[in-house]
Amino acid sequence: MTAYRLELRAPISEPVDASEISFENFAERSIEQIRRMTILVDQRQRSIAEVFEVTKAKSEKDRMVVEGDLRNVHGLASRQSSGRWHICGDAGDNVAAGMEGGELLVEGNVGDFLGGPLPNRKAGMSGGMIHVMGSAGHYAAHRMRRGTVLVDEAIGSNGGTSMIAGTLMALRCGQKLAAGMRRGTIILRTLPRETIEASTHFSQPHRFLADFLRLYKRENTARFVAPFIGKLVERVRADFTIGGQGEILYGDSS
Amino acid sequence: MEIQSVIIDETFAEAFDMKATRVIITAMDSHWALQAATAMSGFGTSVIDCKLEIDIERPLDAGETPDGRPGYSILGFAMGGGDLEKQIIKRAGQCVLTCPTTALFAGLDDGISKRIGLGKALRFFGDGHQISKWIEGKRYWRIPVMDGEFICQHDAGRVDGIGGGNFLLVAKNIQIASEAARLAAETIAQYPDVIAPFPGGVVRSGSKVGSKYASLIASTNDSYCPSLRGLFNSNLEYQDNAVLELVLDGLTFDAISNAMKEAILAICHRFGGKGLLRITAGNYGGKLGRHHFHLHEILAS
Repeated sequence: MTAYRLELRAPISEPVDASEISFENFAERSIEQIRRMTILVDQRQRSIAEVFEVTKAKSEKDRMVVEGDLRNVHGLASRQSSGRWHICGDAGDNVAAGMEGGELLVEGNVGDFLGGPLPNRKAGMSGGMIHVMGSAGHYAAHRMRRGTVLVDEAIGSNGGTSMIAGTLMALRCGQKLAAGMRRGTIILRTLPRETIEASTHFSQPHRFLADFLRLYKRENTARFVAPFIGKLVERVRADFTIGGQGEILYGDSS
Repeated sequence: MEIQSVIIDETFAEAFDMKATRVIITAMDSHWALQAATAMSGFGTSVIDCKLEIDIERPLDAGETPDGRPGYSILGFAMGGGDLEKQIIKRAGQCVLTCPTTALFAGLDDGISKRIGLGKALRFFGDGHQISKWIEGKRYWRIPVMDGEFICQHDAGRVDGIGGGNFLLVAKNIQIASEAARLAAETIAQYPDVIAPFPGGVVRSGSKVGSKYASLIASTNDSYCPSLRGLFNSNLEYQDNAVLELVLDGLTFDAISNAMKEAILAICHRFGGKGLLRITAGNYGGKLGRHHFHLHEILAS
């Protein structure tokens, strides 16, 4: 197993497509070969070493640590299928696009389409665990197929749109939540009443004992769901306009 | 060998390969968990006609269960994997799914490739409204029911086990035999990975293979029936007036061996010289079952 560390050499204002940075692409390559690999920076090929300082070391488990102000670095942890990614800082769009497994921790905020689909693919993430310690932008968990996404703070608009299954947890959300949701679970600490009342996408709210939440044992998810355990919580089904059977659980609806 | 004046016959118990699983039942409190566990493990004394040998292994505190609620672990044993799965699913559906507030989980899980269905089969009761949920690498089914949801793990691990470890206690009267047998069963119940599936853990109708009646595969163990002394060769002496048998199924040889040893020691120390006369064991000459529990070896260990 290998631990890779990529540190952004300097703040970058051009968009960087980091979707080729992966365990699979780095495996079997020497550190020099990895440094010479190219990524797109503002649609132009540049070597990874021009953008990141890269090191690697033996490790008990596969780890990828990326550090710096990564707000213009997009597609980090794309297609992740195993191992652990750790993003230290804010990251751009399409983080964990097409994720299939493994774990991702972001110590910061992320942009739009967290855990969304890869280009030309129908489904979004299909496995794994994402924990964003800050906020996420719009379209978080778009077309999610399986897995768990935990956002400690807010998600933007269109959270969980066209969700197929899986679980999205967040403190609160923006507009147009769960449009086109087929199945899956969204858990929000707060959901404004007007969001529910104004929308035809949701069922009438009802109260629900979500005993399945007791099964979350990892420290981060267990802490998030703790206020819901053993209590009747508010629940709506979505998206009614497409016959969806998803569910949204929420706490304070004031 | 004697322990506290109790003769330990130099013989062995002959036991068989079986397929086994463990499931965990939880509920909002111990009352409902016990109701479900008792129902699920009822009519599960012998594979001869019950098709499954099943019993409560032990109670579980809230901290020991997957959902943090009180519960019980259940062990089940059958001759084949197909029988095991069929019986577990039937019992789960009729006795656990039906019981208020329960949930059902695998008690043998990680790293075990052979599986038996649990929620995999029961989910259809949800009539299309059931929800599959992957949580931390395990799959569960949430089945809508009138008190909320029945949460059931998708499947459970199936392993090789051993059935038919046994010992017979011979006493001067039924009072002593009963008290000794109850102590033996209570002792066995303290040990993990093993159950004694007969009523209260004890058999009064020990059997032998074969019968004068062609349709019966087993019949009364005549050489240990006190009322048949004098008719033919009996294994009972004049003073041996009651015999009871403990039968153990377990996940490992050591689990059964250890439980047998502790149970025999317990009853010898309590009832030796007070009416418990002899300990022996049942076998078929060693030709049928490949697991042999030699009493002297177990007790000397």
